[in-house]
Amino acid sequence: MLLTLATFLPLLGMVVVLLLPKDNKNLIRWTATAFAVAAFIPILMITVGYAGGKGIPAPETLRAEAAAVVAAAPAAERGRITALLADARANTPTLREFTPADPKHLSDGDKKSLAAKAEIVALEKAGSYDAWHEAWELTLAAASPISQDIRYMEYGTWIPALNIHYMMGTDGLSMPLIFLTGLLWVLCFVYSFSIENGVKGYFALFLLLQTGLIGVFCALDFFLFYVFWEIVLLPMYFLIGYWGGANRLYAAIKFFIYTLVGSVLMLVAMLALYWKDGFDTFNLLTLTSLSGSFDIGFQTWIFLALFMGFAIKVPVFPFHTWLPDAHVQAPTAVSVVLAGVLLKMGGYGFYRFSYTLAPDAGISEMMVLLIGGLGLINIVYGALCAMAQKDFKSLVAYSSVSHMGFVLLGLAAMTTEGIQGSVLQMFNHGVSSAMMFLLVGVLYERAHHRDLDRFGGIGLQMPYYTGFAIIGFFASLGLPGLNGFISEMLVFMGAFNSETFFAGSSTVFALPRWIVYLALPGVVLTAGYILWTVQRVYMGTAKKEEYKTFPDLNWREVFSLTPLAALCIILGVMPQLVLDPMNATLDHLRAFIVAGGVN
Amino acid sequence: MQNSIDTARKVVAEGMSGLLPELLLAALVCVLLLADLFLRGVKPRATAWIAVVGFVACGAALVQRYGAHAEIFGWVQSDGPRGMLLNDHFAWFFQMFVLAAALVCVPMAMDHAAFRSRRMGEFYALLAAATLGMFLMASSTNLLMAYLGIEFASMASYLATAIDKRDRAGSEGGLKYVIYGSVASGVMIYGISLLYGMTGSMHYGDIARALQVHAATEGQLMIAAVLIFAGFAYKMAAFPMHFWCPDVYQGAPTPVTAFLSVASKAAGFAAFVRFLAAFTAHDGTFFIGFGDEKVPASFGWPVIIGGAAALSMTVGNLGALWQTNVKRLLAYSSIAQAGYLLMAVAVYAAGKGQPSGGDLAPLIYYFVAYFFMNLGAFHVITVIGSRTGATSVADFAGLGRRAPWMAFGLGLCLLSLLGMPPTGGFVGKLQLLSAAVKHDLLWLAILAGINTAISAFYYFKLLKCMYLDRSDAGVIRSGAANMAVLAVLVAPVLILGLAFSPIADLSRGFGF
Repeated sequence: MLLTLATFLPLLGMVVVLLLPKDNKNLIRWTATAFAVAAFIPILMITVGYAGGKGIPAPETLRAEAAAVVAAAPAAERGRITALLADARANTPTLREFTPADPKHLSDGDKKSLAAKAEIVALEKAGSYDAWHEAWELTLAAASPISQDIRYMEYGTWIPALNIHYMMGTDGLSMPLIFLTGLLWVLCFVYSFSIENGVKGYFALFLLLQTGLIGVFCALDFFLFYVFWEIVLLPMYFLIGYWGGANRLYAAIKFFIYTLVGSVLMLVAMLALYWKDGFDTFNLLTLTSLSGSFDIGFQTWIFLALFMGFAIKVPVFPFHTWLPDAHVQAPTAVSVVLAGVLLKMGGYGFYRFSYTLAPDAGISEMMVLLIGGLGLINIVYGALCAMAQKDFKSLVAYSSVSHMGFVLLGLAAMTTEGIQGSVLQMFNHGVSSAMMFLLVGVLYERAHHRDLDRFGGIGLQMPYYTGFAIIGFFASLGLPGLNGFISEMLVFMGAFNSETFFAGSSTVFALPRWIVYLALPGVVLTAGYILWTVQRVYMGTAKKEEYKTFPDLNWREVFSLTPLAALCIILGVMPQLVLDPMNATLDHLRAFIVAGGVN
Repeated sequence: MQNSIDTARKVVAEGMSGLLPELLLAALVCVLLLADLFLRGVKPRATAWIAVVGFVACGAALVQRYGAHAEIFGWVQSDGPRGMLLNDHFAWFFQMFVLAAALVCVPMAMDHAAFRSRRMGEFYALLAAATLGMFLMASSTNLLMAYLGIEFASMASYLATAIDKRDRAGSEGGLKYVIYGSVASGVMIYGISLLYGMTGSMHYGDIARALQVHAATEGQLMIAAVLIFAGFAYKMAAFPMHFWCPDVYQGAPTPVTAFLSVASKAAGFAAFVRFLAAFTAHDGTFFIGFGDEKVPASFGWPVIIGGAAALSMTVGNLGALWQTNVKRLLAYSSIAQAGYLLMAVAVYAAGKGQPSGGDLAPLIYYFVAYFFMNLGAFHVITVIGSRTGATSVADFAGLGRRAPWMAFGLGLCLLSLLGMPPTGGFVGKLQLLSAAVKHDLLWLAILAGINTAISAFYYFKLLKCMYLDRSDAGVIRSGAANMAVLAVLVAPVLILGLAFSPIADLSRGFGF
């Protein structure tokens, strides 16, 4: 119930906002903010509850659902279904097509399969096939190695004709991102009070965007996930296209087409999994518990198809070119959520889908080198590009490219520290990049330009603002004591350790150490462009007379920046606040992937 | 002698009783033409009401026929009937589809300038005639009947396209339509004659039976198949017979375009799928050539149809990219849509060769979604066009403010045509892709996916114009009746995308 509330309250908010009179701008602003706050309440409850070990674990929910399905079947078939469920994994529905080549030479396994097939066919004749199939799905989902950490699960039938379910849940991987989404929306709405043009459409689209994002992070049915994933695209297109800068139309359509190309490939992979061996299911947990048995060829192309979808979103070099365009043209709040959570959809997708559905492919030499290598390129190339930018926002955009490279590097390493650092980096980058885009926005609202070379001496004029800026930028730089340091450190430790950790492993390809060596200069480059930026913008004397008239932060800006600055500092000192709730999830996930999907 | 006359009488009597909807349509054509003589210039709108009553009556008769399975207008042999028409679930769906499209076009035409006063009655008569031709196409079970149905529907369509003779674009479109149509018919009839030579019959059942017993070599069959397919492709507006489509859609009055893009296409698909099924009527295999080797009955069909599907969607989508006229843009879009739909047919043909059998549900579902999204789009274009004279994409600038509901409706239909969730077009496309992946036509599924991304460019061109381009032009009043039609067409687009389980189940009942 809580997750549903968190997901659909913003949608309700959109409808309410659309019904409000167009001219009463303040009413619209406050209503939208109220809905963002209302959605944040269940999110907070889940966050606190999850960290405190509350919430019904998914396997319990799933088993109860399976029992209910069996109980609803005709009494005559129940025994048959229960018997088949005893070894659900062996008795996949694919057995309907099972025909042994020569009945004389049946092995014991084949004989058992044939018997199971006869049972399934009998169920089909009795009209209980659907009940058996759903119970089978749920039993396997409950046994899935990643479902043990999922809590607050909600399960219901949506489209029985295609076996699509409304299945939501959260675990240590998605929970921090849901929290971040809830928080950023409240902050962005308060910040966006300065929007004067098309207020109604702006807030309505923004609320729709929130539904899409929270849905993406909660959905455990592939179809449901895909619907939310696509829902994110539309409001984003219009937000950039209507409220953006001079070149907004180009940036908006570029964003849209890039993401769409990725998502249609993802769609094909999703359908291939649906039809694989007659599973007929979009249930992510069921598919995960079966994925170890997929042959490597199938896994490889599934991995690549999903990779395209997620890599474009991250964005991974060479698919990153939409990002600077979108960021530079987007209004401030849209940039904030774009960097803060939209990019995380890609990173989240890798963990939730790519590696669980194609675990063998993920740890193969080709993919480790691909992901690790692209991570390296992202880190170094992103930093070099950032250094070359003249536009403040563009610099922050490229710094996102660079920082998301750490997510890939930690992921490719497959060590405990690497994975922890990588997921923590997603959260930390969400905080610090959101903060940086807010900071750029604050300055842009006063100066009406973002040319780095024309700033200077802001520190003297706007001391509070500069204080926040220093925290934000240094968190992004990775200064010890601030949050960015912890995650980058963990990623490097994990990546460096990969060769030792997986020495002698015949299945897992360890991330080669030379990639880590090559990535290290990225840290120096990051320090370079950030320090240079701080120097050019905040230090020195004012380059223009008008800079001396700039007012310092107003209450809305303070309200938006304070929580983020606090998070930067708190998580720099006490990273366990985020790490502890997600450790169990990530450990289980990692063990599952490294074992090639066998649990 | 007496015996054969009795038989003939019996056949005609049985046939007539099963043909009530068709007879009603034929009567409607005559009534409309007569009524037009008296009402022209006096009360032209009255003919619209006559048309509505006629179509509804025909619909009632069609509902009565639901569940029938009768082959009519033929003779009975020891191994089964040899009819001209077969009324079954499949035919029923497409006939209902065409009839519903015709019914929607009635209010659309009332609103359109081309039909004011003088030509309204004539147009409705032609609409009824085209509907009748499409009814016959959907139930034809004999190549000759299919050909005659196509010709009958085409004749009415040619005239409807060029109905306003002072309109140069319409006349040009009509002429092009006729010329391309003649070429397509010629090609098709040549293919039919080849197949007749090989199998000795034009009845689908006989063709299937003949193919079981060494009737032709694969090469011969392939030539005949491609030629006949070309004839059907002309009605579907699919590659390689799509060239007429942009000019005709642009030139024809918008209600005619709407009708052609939905009903004509559906009838073309229906007739073709019936013909295709004849190749695969028996146990899924047949003999080709003079040896003992059995081959899958689908033989080259998945390749021929899959290739046409791939080329249709690619040609349609690439062609649409540079269009500035809205109707021309939607014409190319409908060529691309024909490609997606052909994908379902290719999957059906591929499925026929496999034990699981062919499945027509994705085709049926996509057509249901296509009905609403395409007619919805054309409805808005008609309404806006008749009030502002808008023809080019740029004329739609600022529509989001000028006519918010119309813009919302058109936007939703465009998103559905593009295949974005949560719309019917997405679920339809999902099922098409799903079927293609299931039957190992992965290349086709991926190509369709890439095509979807390409199509986003031009659908968004229109969306961008409506919502992001600013315009100072005034608010457009659309009228309550038009709003009602819009709601009827657009609401299902959302329903088909959100709560589509019952419809997806229903769509399984209309195959063979």
